[in-house]
Amino acid sequence: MKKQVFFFTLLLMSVLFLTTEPRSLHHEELCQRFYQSTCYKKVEIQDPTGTVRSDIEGEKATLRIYQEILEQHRNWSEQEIDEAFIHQIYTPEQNERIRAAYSWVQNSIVHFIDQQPSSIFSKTEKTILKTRLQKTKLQLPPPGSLYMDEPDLLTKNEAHYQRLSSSSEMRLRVGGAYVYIAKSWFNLVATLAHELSHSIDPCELRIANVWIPAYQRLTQCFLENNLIALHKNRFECGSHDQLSEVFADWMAAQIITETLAFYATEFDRHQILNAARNSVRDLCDPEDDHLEFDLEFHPSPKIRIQNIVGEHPKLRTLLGCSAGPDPRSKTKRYCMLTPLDQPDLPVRTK
Amino acid sequence: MKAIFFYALIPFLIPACTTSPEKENHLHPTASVQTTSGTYDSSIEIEYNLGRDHYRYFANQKDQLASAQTLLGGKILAQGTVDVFEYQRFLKNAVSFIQSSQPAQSSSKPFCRNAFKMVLNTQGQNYVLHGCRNSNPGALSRLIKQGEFLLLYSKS
Ligand SMILES: [Zn+2]
Repeated sequence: MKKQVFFFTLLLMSVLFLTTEPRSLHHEELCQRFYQSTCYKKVEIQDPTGTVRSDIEGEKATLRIYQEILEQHRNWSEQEIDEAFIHQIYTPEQNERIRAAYSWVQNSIVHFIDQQPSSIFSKTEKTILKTRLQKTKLQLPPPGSLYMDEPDLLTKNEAHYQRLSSSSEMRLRVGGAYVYIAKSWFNLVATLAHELSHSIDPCELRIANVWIPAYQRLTQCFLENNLIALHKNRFECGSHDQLSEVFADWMAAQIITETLAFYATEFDRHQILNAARNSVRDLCDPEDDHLEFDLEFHPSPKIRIQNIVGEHPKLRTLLGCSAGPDPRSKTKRYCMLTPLDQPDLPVRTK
Repeated sequence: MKAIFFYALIPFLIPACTTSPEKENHLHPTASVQTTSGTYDSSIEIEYNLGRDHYRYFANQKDQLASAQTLLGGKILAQGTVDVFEYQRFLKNAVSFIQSSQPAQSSSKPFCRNAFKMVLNTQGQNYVLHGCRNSNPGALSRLIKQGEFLLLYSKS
């Protein structure tokens, strides 16, 4: 009998060992392989605010909703159908949540700029950057007429920044599929931070004839660390150039880090880990789905998740990883805004 | 009439980012579609990028049957047969869209965050247009929406 109890206990322990992720191993994995840990498809990551669903799931779901409305109201005009769809997707609660996240992101980027010493951004440069951020308006329907000039966005899993050449108006719009599936607050913050950062990215500023020396040093760092792919036909701020996307990811990484630091007192370490992973989970390489996506302007998912976000020094500290850089990283150092005369930070050794 | 349709369409179907259309060669869209209506096979394919996502919309008519599909990253979002009359209206709008596309100056290669490629096949000929979603604000988006609406409406 004793023998049976012993074997049963042993069996139970083995099952428990195999089915639960040992916290320390999981954590070690996250430190060293943030990308793999974030993008491991079979496990849905639950952070304290929700999960992140794939682009294709969101779009299929919203198309189904659209079709249901069509089936029920075949005599309605396209405009009436759009309004009913908007009513169902862009609910006051969802819109309020997105507005709150947008406001959080806008204030966080402004704060980040304000914090920089004058050796990085001059007073004039700070004013230019902050004005552009504050002038960028979040547009969410209703009314449906708000997206009349871009109606296909209603069923798309996209949030995007746009500058109208005709009026210099800067705006940020969020597609219906994203609104429908945006459950994780941290993913929402990261997505909006990326998009809003385009309003002050080096390429947008170049169009506005604004040249910021600190940006040029940052760009140089991106290039030296292979964050921007050196395509043979690369034309800076033109074809085959990833500068504006790398910059938007990099700025989003600063905001994700500050957001997680804010919540670090409220959430435990494991919740913060999952929030960090969910913030970028939608950027994962959808290799399971064999989806094709743009790599002309966007860096690879691994660079975006591992090198630009996962290797942020403060984020690593927050996640309980070693304060120093990961010695196995392909990048020499994490790029930060630097003053003109600052010597290069120590290059990490393998 | 068929020949006029082909030759008139050619100037608009060369990559929009690098060429200028010759206004006097504009095709009258109504006339051309009426000619093809119910008689010729045709297809419309629109490939476009939004953010990092790659989309493809495809609709065609063969004999008296029309069908369409919409894909994200190569995966089907929706597909099915569509109403032939509505398809013809869509084809007509696609032709109008090609005509009204405003190409950029040939001297510079503009930065295009959200590029698209449209392939129109009608009366056995292929026409290709490369452009930028923002170059004619709203036009491409409305056309895509119309295509998706056609598909969803027919499925319901
Ligand atoms: Zn972007």
